[in-house]
Amino acid sequence: MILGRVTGEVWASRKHGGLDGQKLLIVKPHAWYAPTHDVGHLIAVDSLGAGIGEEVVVCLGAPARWSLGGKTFPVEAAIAAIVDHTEIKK
Amino acid sequence: MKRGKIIGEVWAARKVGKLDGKRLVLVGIDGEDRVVVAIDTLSASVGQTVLVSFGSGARNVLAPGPHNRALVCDAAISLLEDGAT
Amino acid sequence: MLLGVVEGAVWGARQASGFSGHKLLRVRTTNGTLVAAVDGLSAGVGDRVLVAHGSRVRDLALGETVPTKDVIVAIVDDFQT
Repeated sequence: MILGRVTGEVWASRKHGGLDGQKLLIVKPHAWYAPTHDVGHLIAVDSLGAGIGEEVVVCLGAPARWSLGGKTFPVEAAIAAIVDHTEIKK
Repeated sequence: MKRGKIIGEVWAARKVGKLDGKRLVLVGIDGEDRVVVAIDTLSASVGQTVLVSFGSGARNVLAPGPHNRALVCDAAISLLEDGAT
Repeated sequence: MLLGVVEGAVWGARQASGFSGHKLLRVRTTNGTLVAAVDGLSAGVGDRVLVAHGSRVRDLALGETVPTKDVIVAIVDDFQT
């Protein structure tokens, strides 16, 4: 999973049936872990109700897809947690 | 699996259902410029060297067995290193 | 699958339950990255090995409850480039 900040939300009336009723958020990761993307953001489905500006933990890949209940959903990222506080010691 | 060092901790009250009560840690992966958020069920402390499992391996840390796909987790601490050669 | 050389073993008293009975080795792959893989073949330090990655391989070689996706599936005798 990775840490990121919610920078926006996406609305779409025409979308894949599997995404019906799902909230889609734009997340800008603080640090990537594979797979790395060329763009600086990713779109994640949100079941927790995260708001813009909040820091979140994003789950990537198949586990994110299964969060909607199957492997046929066109999803590669899901919000796993909304961060209250982080502490880093280097 | 990758080897890494615990560099911090993440606190989150609101988590996806199945992750409730689980601890989240930040792991710096050895030799790679990346930081991973992983679930920790072994009570690792900051500075400790650990092994991190990814994907289905991570889900097997939390709930061994094939029927654990509903877990929204792609990284988990699977071993606290005591020694290495 | 990745070709690599076994650099050493890793062990820890506190580990996920699925690891019991399995040996963990550190493998330096030919592309320079380090992976920890479960060894089912008794590979030793310095051995050239093949590391397969994925849950399907893990299910077949070790079982469905082992918490890793990296498995040593062959000890390489020789190879040609």
